[in-house]
Formats: sequence, structure tokens, C-alpha cells
Amino acid sequence: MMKKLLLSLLFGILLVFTLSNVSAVIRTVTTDAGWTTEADAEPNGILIKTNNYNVFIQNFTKASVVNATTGSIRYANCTIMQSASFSGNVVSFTEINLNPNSYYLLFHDNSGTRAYKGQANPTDLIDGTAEARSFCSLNQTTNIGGIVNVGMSNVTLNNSISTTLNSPANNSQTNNNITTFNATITPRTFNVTNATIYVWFNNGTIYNVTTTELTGNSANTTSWNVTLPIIQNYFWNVLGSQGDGVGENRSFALNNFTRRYISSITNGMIYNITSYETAREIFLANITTNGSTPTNAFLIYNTTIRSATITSVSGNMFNISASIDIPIGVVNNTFYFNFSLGGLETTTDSFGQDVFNTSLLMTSASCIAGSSSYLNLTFANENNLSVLNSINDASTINYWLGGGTIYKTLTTSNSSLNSFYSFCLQPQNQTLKTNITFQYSGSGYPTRTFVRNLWSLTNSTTNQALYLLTSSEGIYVTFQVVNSADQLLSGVIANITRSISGVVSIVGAGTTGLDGVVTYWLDPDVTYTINFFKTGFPFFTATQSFTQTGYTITLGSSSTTADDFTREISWQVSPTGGFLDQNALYNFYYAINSSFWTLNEFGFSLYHVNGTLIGSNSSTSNGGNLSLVNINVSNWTGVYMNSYYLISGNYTNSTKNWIIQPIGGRDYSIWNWFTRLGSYIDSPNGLFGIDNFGKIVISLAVIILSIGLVSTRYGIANEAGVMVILFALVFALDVGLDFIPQIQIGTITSPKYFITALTFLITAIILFREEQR
Amino acid sequence: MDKKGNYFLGVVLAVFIWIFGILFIPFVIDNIDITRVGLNCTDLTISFGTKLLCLSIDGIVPYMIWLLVSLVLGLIIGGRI
Repeated sequence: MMKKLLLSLLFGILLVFTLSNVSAVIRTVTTDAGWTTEADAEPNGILIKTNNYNVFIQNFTKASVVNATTGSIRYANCTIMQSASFSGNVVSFTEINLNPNSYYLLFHDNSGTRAYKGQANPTDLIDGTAEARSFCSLNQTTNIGGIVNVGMSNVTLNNSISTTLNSPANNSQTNNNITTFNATITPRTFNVTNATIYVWFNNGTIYNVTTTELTGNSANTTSWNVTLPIIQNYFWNVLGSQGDGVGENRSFALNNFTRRYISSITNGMIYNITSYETAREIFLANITTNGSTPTNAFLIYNTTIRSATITSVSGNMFNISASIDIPIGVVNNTFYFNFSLGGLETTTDSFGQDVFNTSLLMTSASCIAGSSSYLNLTFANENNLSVLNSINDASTINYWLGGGTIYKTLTTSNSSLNSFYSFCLQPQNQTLKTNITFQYSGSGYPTRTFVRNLWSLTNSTTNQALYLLTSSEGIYVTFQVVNSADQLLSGVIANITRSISGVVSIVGAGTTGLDGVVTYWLDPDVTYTINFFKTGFPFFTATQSFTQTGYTITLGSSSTTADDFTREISWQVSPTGGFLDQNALYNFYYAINSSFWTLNEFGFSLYHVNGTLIGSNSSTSNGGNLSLVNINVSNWTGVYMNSYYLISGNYTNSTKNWIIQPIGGRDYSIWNWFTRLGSYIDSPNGLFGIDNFGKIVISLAVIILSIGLVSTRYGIANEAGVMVILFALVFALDVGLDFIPQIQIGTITSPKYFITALTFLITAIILFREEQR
Repeated sequence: MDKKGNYFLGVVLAVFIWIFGILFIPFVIDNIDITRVGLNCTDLTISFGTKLLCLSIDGIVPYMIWLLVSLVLGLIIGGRI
């Protein structure tokens, strides 16, 4: 047995060393091999002028009679770009692109140590007969000319062949996997010999090289049909070639073109070109697919991600739409839709939207240019209605234009007595929504608070009178709010109104604190109406005069489950796993949905393992998704997310931890092997036709062979023991290696790791039954 | 040599194989990298044969480790050589 193992090891080692001699393929753009006619004893060079794109010199060959050890590529001023030693008669260089429209010299060191100066502007000669010979001289001043016969491939690209890419246009897109590439090759000096289409994957790996033989001395337009294997961007170019039978001159078109092979085409996007911060905007894309139905669509708006709705229009045409509240920031936001098509992630074209400022200012004068007054607050004595001047002790206004998920906050105050306060908004033509808390007082008038939520305002100015009561006419009245069990209730929204001149006006508002208390400055001789509201409790109202300094309000409990703030609330955090890779970018999401409670707020904060805040996000909407995208976890050891949601003043918190692990060494692991196998199987040309069924067969074979080996070799025949081994294998293949595909029956797909869960259940049952015997 | 002697020799041999086996792996890894580049293993459009070869190359290190562990455990637990 040991002999067999050692032989296997030896075979593996031999296999590794044999394969290690396979070298990488290097793209050859031009090769200079004309030095065979050179027999001069002096160091000398050939000048090359480049006028094409992405050219580099791979190697050149010296005559065998030349006793040189080093070859070099030099700039026109004779400084060395790079040099290398000859191997035989060939010197090879690393791939360094030459600058377009520049001169270069090829040199060898025939006599070793002399320095030379290049002839910077030689006459451009027709090649095939002679070329300007370039020297460098010791004194750096004298140009020494000479003539030497060289092969064409030595010579400049001045008279090079011209290649023009005709179609498809640069950056054009298609959802057809076959593209016809078309280019025109115009020879100069010599006859055209061939043209070669190059198609590269977007990572630079070459995909297709096809050469078409051509003849003649006039422009030649050629087409190639190329099947693009996978959906991605491709680069393409054409290498034209001319020659005289002795030498050859080749040239690419100046720039590579991009061909986008996508599974869908964006026919158009409907959206407003400009918008304002916090405004609600709707985006609708019309796409045509390759026959698949798009699913799982999201709008990616700058860094904001929102789920989108897909609607079938007709045939392969679909609409994808979403609406968002525009985030804060005066920028041009890029946006597009991301969706799944045939199991692949794809996107629509990207568009841009200019976002302008939404700004609310409080002033006691006229609005500044470019803004309009939306709200005007004036002040009066509550009892005699005389007009007053007031101080703004403090004010906090949350304002927005859209749905309220994104809002801005104005926090301000004014210590001067003013007859009015105007709130001016820029832009001037939008409907503004506000939650306003405004504290005001006057000389001899104690402070009162005006609160109004979800107040919709327009540029048709809303005038609101606020009332004050003199120090001598009022008393402070404290209301303490409790539930039926005499427990203090915080977060109870309260206000107090009074009918003034036949109009019900708010004279005070507030929210109970942790002590369950809210206090008003009231006239004990006047009848007021008090209102208390808290989610989960019945609304409380009472109309009377308040002559005492303290009252207790009891709110009846609405139900016995009122305090279960987890009822019908589902939330999810992603990434779902517990491990992250070092130095990788991750998107962190917190999604929550509540069908029973109304969420006042929810959010999360992401922390470094040492407690340093990485970022946070929150929302006051009733559920939704929050994200922090493109977070580089660097080489930390861990991150954690503290998430919360707020219902009626009660926070429910949770924490999710991730361990960050290094990725070194994985390239040689079993996991990597299965990953590679999976990628090969899932690739467009597959692997021996193996599909998901093949994966299951392989998994089954691994399981049966393993269990069979263990049973026969070690005599494990116990049912429970075999099941434990079976579960371990299934767990490793399914959860650990992600190799077992999900079961699919018709349109129904089993949950992920269903096989593992099922095996665990069966194993548990068998173990339980075993213990019962 | 008595049984205790055999066992001791087995452990020493196991440690020897383990150390040199582990030291050998980095050399194999270098060659695996070169071979992977040469075979262009990351290109999903390569031929079936090349893919199979890439998978064979990928399995060398896990196989070596498995082999080492088997040998070492066999020598230690088996108690004889």
C-alpha cells in the first residue's frame, strides 16, 4: 500500500515539473529581424519611427558575424529605454509600448563602450533598398550619416500600412452573440498581404485571432464574423500587413474599439434630467432582452440601492421602474438598473441626473433672491389678540420634497424680538413637507412650543399665528401620562388647543419624556382641549379649564401584546455568512419589514472590531432597505453591525458579527478545486457536457465511494454511524464547497442548503431512534 | 528490535516525512503557479483536456497534504514500519 502511495506522489511531482515548462503566450506586434545584412564593425543602429498604437519591440536579430553581447532600444536622444543580452543572435525585450509618433533606435554593442547620439530626424526613405543609418558619437554633437541596406522589417513605420476600423462603432452594444467586424486596410508602398482580426476579453486575454489573406495595392475592406462566447465587453482591432516578399510591415488601427456584448439593450430611460435634494423621482427604463425575462431588479442611484419593478411590455421588451427620494448632495448622480437575466447579473446603460440644492432658511426679513416664503409665523396675545414681537428660542424643522425617507434639518434660533419669522425655500416651485418644532417667547411672555408634523406647504405663503400668554395670567400645568398599570409613558404626542375667534388654534405641543411628563403655560380661567396620542393606546382627549399645576392622564392599554415589538417584524442583514475576505469590497445591507407595527425609525451602524465607526445609515420610513456599499474591510480581524428599529419610543437592537479572514493559500485548497470545477462546468462551453445533474452525479459518487470505503475498510455498518458520515459529506459538499446545486422542480426551487437540512433531519431521527432502542 | 523500538522509529520517521513534506510544498506551489499561467487555467474557453489538466494541477497540493497526513498517521498509529 505504501509503495502505491509513494508512486502516486512521485507521479504527481513529475507532472508538476513537466507542466512548469509551458510558457505564457506573448503577443507579438512587430519583430525586427533585418540585421542579417549588417556587417559594419562599428556600433550602429536602425531608426524606427512609430505612428501606430500599442506597438512594442519584442526582439531583433543580429548577424551571426557580429560579435555583440548586448542589444538595446534607445530613445532618439540615444538614452537607453531598455537593454538585454543576446541569446545566440536574438535579443529579447520586455513588453514596453513605444510612444506614438516618436523615434527609436535599435543598437548592438559591437565595440562595447562608446557612447552614441541618435540622428533625430533622418530622411524617411522608401524601404526595401536603403535606410538612414543612425549613429551616436562620442562628442554628442556630430551626426554621422551613412547608408546600409536593411530588410524592410527593420525600417520605420513612416510608410506603414493604414488600418481603419469601420464597424461596429466603438462602444456599441449588441445582444446577439455574433458580431461582424469590418475594417479597411490601405497599403502604402507595397501590396497588402493580409489582415488579422484580434478580439480580446475585457481582462486583456486574447479570445480570437483570424487572418484573412489579401492581395493588391489598393484599399481593401474586410469583414469577420466572430462568435462572442460570454456576455461582457470585448476589445477589438485589426492588424493590416503589407510586404514585398522580403519584408513585412504591419500596423494596428490607432485605438482599440470596444464591443459590448450584453444580454439586453437599453432602448431608453425616462427620468427628469434635473432634480432637487429630497425630491421623489421616478425612473423608468425600457429594455429589450435576448429572450430571457429579467428578474430581481434594483435601481442603483449613486450609492443608493432601491428595489425596482419589472413590467412586461411586449415580446422581449420590458420596463423597469423605481422611485426614490433623492439623496442629499448637489452633484450629478449616475444611475442605472441592475437585474438578473438568465442567471447573470446585467445592467442598463448609465445615465446622469443633476441634483440642485433644497434649502430652507428662517428670516425675519424678506427672502433672499431665488427663494420664496412658504411659511410666515406671527405672534399675538392669547387673550386680547394684540400683536406681539417674539424671540425664537429654538426651532428644529425637518423638511423634504418627496416621500420623507430623505430629509434635511434646519436648526436655528433668533434672540431678537421680531414681529414675524418667515421660512424661505429654494427651489421656489415645489411642495414642501415639514415636521416643525418652534419654541417662542416674548418680553413678559413665557416660552411656548408650537409643533406640527407632516405639514404640507407651498409657495403660496401659509400664515400661522402663534399665541403667547403673559406671565401674570398663566400657570405652568404639568401632565404626567401613565398606562393602566401606572407605568410612566414616554413618547406620548400631546398638544393643547383653544378656540380663538372661532378658530381652533394650537397653543402648546410637545412629547412626554422618560418621566412621562409634558408641561404647558396655560390660563387657568380659560377652557382648553388636551390631546394625547401614543401608538398602541387609545386616543385621549379632554376639554376643561386647568386650574391645578398637575394632572395625571391614564391611557388604556389597547391589547395584551402591545409590548411585543418583534411581532410580525422580519429583518435581514447581509452579507449573510459569518466570514469575510481580507481586502475585499463588501456591500452591507439591513432590510426590515413590519406588517403590524409602524416603524418610527430604523438603521444600523457598522463598526471596526475595535469599536471605530465605519459608517451608519438610518431611515424614518416604515421599513425598507439600508446599505453601506463598497466597504473595504482591509486586513481587520472583524467587523460588526449594530442594528435597531424604533417603535413608539422603544428601541429593539441586534448585533451581527463577521470574522475577516486572510485569503492567502486558498488557491491550492480543496475549496479552490471545487470552485474551479464549478466554474468550468458553468462556463459557456462547459466541461464534457457536465451540468447540474452531472454535479449531483459527481457528489453522489463521492458520497457512495467514501462511505463504501469507510464501511468496507473499517467495518462501520451501524446505521447511525453511516448517517453521521453521510451528513458530514453532504455538509462539506453543499455548505462548505457549494458544489451541490439547488433542487429545481418546474419553477419551484428549493431553499439553499435544503439537502443538508434534510440530511441533518434524517440523521437526527435515526440517532434518536438508535438511542431509544 | 523490540516493539517499543519499532514504534519510536516509526514516530521519528513520521516527523521526518512530515517536516520534509511540508518544506517541499512551496516548491510545488511555485511550479503550480507557472503551470496555471502556461495553461491559461482562468480562461473558461480553453479545451476540455486543458481544463482537466488544470483540475489535476489544482488537486496536487490537497493530494500531497492528504498523502502526508495519511503517511504520518499510518506510521504513528500503526506503530511499526
